[in-house]
Amino acid sequence: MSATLAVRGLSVFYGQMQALHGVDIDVPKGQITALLGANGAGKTTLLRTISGLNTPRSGSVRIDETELVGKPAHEVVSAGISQSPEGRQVFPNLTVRENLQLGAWIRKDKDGVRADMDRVVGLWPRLGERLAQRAGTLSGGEQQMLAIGRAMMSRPRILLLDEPSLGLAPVIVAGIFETIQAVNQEGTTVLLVEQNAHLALKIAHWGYVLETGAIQKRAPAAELLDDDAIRAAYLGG
Amino acid sequence: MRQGALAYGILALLLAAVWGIELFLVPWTDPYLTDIVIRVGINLLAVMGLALVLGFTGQFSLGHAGFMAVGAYAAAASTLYAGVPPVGGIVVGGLVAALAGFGVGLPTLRLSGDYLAVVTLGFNGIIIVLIQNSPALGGAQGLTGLPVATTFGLTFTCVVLGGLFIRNLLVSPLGRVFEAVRDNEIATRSLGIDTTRAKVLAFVVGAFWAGVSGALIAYYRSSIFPSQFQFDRSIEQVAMVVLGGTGSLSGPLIAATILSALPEVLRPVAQYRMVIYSIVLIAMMILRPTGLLGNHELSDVLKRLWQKRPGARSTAA
Repeated sequence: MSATLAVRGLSVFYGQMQALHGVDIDVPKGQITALLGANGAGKTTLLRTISGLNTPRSGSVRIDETELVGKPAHEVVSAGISQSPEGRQVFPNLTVRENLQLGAWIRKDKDGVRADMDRVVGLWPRLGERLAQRAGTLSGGEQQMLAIGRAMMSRPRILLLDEPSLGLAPVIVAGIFETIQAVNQEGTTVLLVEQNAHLALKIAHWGYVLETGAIQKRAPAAELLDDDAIRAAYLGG
Repeated sequence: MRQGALAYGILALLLAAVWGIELFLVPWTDPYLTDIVIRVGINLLAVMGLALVLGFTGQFSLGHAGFMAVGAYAAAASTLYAGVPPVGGIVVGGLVAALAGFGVGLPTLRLSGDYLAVVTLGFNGIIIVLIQNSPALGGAQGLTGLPVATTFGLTFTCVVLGGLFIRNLLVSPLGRVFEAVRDNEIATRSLGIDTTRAKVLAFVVGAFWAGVSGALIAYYRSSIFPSQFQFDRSIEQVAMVVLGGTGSLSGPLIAATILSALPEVLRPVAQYRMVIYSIVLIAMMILRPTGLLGNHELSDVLKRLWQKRPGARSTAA
């Protein structure tokens, strides 16, 4: 159910511009790893490259012993990595149920898919009440729940979450982070990208700080929460 | 199992209706009216294919008439040079057009939006130029001497088969994938769905029915000309899909019916008919900016009207 993700020397270019400079990251099995950084630091680029949506110029991405660089996005999902993209990006014209079903597209075990659908609905009963509703009519918080739930439907070994707190009210965000923690405790490894460093570090085991495309710091999350420099830069004093 | 039986029942019923009309109504109908109805039917086939590609999968193809040309000339050539009967020629036309759709789609559907529009537009132009410069295909003078076989019955048999085929495709899980690609391609890819494959599939199916539509034209007036399949025809079909509603199958079919018949209906006011036609287009865009039916089907709309009828039991909480 769980796996280790190892990123080594990953360099990504957009045309002439280098977005990632030889990034190394370890996402240990069964833990939550938080990736912090300002706008434009390269967080989303890193997640997209892991997911196979961007092609790196050099470097490697491994899930357990399997190399993922060079594989198209759909094979990366089959290998056990699933992403909830930034800005939610649910399919507005499809119903909540259809959104979740598409998340399980690569799976053939119908009973397992139904069980996972029940699991997602169990985590967020509000989605359960709205299964037949078009996703575009959901609130921002519900759409975020749906985006994470949809990513969980492929039963990933590693779940990538891109800015789950983006544009949501604090009380909603708190609920979503509690659920992320619950999903992790059930055994899914999580790589969490966040601008809200305080919240992310509170539920994470490890934290990385990404600045202008390079890793500046790696430490246990609790240590980063107490770090003065990190406080000043990301935690608002 | 029971659903499959129901689908075959509907198919049999519709085909019986089509051939009933063909045998008992068409012989006593004004040939001019029959002519208009057949032309509408031929347009319906092309438009339902484009509704799948543009309306549901969101791929902006500006060269749908090019696939009609491929179908028309493949059918005509199979009959003239190999003696294939018209019904076989229609299948040949559809298959060759589908093959062309695959050939154009595979390299270009990695492109998106404007780029795809430009490439498909170019494809339409290239096909016309190729035909015009090919003596075996009659060049600009066209091909003549084809058997006349396109009747009301044959046309609407194809319309029924095409309509049910595409509808079944759209209600299948693949239908959700097409819509997901339209709504957000990146998110669809991130779910492990091979979006290029889905787009090529939609493109091939759309091209197949455009090819069938072209083949029917070939067997309608016993001759075909490259000028029948030019770019303006592609644009007209895009207009029908957009006006009918992207994300609806019945909407574009209604729009295609109205827009195909309108120039004929307006024939009495001869010199003003293109003006009125344009005003109708503009008025529809202002009054119904998401298209006639938006992303709903006719059956949804009728259901809602039925529930709103006076005296209906209120379903509101």
